Amino acid sequence: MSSISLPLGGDVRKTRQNSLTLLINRFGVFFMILVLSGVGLIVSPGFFSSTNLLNILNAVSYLGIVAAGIAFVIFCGQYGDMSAPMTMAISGVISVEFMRYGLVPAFLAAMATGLVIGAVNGYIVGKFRANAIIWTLAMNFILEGLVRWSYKGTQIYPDMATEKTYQTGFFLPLLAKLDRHIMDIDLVSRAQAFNGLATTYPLGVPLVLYVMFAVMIIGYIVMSKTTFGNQLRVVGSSYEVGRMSGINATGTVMKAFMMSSLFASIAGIFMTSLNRVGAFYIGQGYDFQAVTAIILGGMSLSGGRGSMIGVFGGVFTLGLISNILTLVGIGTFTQKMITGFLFIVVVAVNARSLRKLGRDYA
Amino acid sequence: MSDPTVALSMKKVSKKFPGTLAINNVDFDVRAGEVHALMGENGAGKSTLMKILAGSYPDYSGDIFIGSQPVRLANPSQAKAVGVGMVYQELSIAYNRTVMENMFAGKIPKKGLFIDWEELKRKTLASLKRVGLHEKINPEALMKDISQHESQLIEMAKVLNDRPCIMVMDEPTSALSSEEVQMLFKIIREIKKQGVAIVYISHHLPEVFEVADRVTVLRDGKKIETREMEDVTKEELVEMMVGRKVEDYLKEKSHSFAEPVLEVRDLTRYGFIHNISFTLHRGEILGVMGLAGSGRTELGRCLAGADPVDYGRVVLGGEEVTIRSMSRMLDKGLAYLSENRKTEGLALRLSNRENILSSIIGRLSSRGFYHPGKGGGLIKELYEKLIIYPPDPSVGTSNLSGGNQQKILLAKWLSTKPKVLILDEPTRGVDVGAKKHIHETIVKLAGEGMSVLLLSSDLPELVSLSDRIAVLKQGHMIGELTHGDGFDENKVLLAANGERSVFSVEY
Repeated sequence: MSSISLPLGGDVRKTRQNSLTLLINRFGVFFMILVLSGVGLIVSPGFFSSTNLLNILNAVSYLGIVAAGIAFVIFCGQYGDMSAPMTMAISGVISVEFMRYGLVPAFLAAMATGLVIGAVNGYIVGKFRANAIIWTLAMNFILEGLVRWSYKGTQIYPDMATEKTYQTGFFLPLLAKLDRHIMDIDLVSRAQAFNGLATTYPLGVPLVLYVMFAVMIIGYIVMSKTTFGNQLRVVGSSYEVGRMSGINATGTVMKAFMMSSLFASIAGIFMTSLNRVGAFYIGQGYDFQAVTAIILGGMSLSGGRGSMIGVFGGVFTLGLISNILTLVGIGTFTQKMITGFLFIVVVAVNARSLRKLGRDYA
Repeated sequence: MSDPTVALSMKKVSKKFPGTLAINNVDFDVRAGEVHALMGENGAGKSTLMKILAGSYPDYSGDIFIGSQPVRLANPSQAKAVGVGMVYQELSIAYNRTVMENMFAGKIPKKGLFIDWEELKRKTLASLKRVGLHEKINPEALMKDISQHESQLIEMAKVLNDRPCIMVMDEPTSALSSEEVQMLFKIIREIKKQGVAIVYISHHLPEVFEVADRVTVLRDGKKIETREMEDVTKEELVEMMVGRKVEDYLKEKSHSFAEPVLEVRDLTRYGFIHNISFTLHRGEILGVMGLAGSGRTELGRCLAGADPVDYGRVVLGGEEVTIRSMSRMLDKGLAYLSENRKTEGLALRLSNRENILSSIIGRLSSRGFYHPGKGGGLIKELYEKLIIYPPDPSVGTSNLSGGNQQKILLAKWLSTKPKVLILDEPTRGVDVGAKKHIHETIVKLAGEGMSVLLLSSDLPELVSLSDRIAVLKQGHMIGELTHGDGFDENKVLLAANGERSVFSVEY
């Protein structure tokens, strides 16, 4: 009707919230871990052996790295980064190409590529308010096409040492032309170092697990302790409020997507090393799984809520489920279905608990 | 009912919202074939009363008679069935469909399984005729190609299709030009002749005098009076609407202000505000009065850097500023409290602490790390100053009452320690206690040297707080009233309607 707000006292919101709902919303995932651990013990007495626990963690370490990044996008209220799989793949390919200059330059080149992808995603979503899912999905397709076209459908192997290698890559022929010297590089040892990344076990723990914990700790600090993280919380809760609070909302969204792509790049490098091949399919399925883990960890799809600790919980839960299912002899395909089903349940519960808390407008 | 000409009669109608009586024992009757204006300030209860009539609030008390039949209006379709038609300010249009489909949405004539296009077209033309559009509009045109004004008439025709005996029009002219208003009035008079009772809600005094036969004024949920239009003057009407001055806060007046803090010259955003110039002094509260669409909010948004500015000079604290972004204006000491608390002001999902500090995250950071602890003292101070309940900053903002949320919003902007604070409807939807408190705080802050630009449609608020009042109309500043002119609510309202040029024009 006319521009009249309800007269005095029209406000009937609840002033207290159901504390159980709040508790489940915040720590539900750790309760789930407890239950799953119990189930695990019943299924296999050796469940809590350090070998098995290490196996579980090792299996989800790549996922953990990707999820830590995508968590920034979801925290930002943008539902997800569907370009993570191709960001992983392209970073792997780039690192293989630049491996000839040493591992560090290879990593830097790969991560720089990731950052560029994230910056483009973030700019489009932040500036033009594009739907993040649709845009990053499109980005994923574009990148896939790009990789398959520029490598003419071939995969690229770190340890291919023949003269021919220098013609199969995309950057390699270029580099070879500019710098004949790379032909003489001792490729075999470089390739061994690169391929060894995923199979290095300092102190008996896989290197990639250290990386996952490092990434999670850094992610935790960035998300909750830095200026950026706290501004992201405001922008994630409400883009307009963030903008009207004098926060550079576009820049903040951009940085969130850059975190996502950067972490995806790191995971991509390790994934490529593990598979000993750079190819477009590296990283497939990680977008979806990561979002499942993040939501499972109590992060709200509508942004501004949740923490990296929850994300770890979510990732670990997925690891537990997969481990238990394998122990009872359920195959990968069935596991996929179960993960998909879990995703639906988790999103439904998430939406419901949010609505109960009066936090969502939906 | 004894009087056969009475189309609608509401007897001792009341409606309670939790904690308040929104409509208090109101008697209201409308005769067949009359235009009855319903007036009152924002929040007086006009909308609530009409929503009862539309069947939106089934839990009212009192009796309603349509003609001589007592009715109990429990839901909107029932209200429609007894002959109540509502033309709302916001139109319900499917823009990508044709005029005829929109007109008969939900009751499109069918031939078997298929739409009877011929019949639909014929019926549409017949009902367009009633609003004088049958020669102007092709029923097969798409709605998005129809002008705002014609859409409004189509909406009216749609309501008339149901042959209502009572038609309620809520601010039907707010988006129309003066010629279009005249056309609308012509049609209203036609409909009136057919014996339809029309309830006409409007803030615009001249229109009401032109089109209405009788007027009923509501204030604070109570009916003040029903009068014949011929027997009432504009001044009387304004007095009835505003009532005796609400003695909630009266500021000690008029010290002289010497030190200019904000100078604005020719600020323009095409289509919204044009060549706005004024000077705001240290410790001064400058009220800006203007009806909806006058550019009041746009002025605030432009100054704050939220909307682009086409040209204009702004000097803030002796330094010329180019308005580029909100963060820049905040750094320069200008804060803007938005009228949209829920969409632009506060992130309801966050805690009060997070909300209050949300605009100074940068300032509380060093080397990229945020130290919210540094804001602890500030929060404590603001909580004490504004008496925010509950006194726990970790509570989620969505759990607070409207009044306390508004205090949080004010606290958020005060935390930036602004030199100039622009307040856009600072007490909208806020209860009396919180309102008084916010008013006191504003005056106290001005006393401490902060300059305030108060954009408000709440007349008593403007008059009791402001040192000067500038009047905006259609994006132009048409003058200003100072205490020297002896302003009161009456004068300000007349000025905003462009009725009198009694006030001094400075620029």
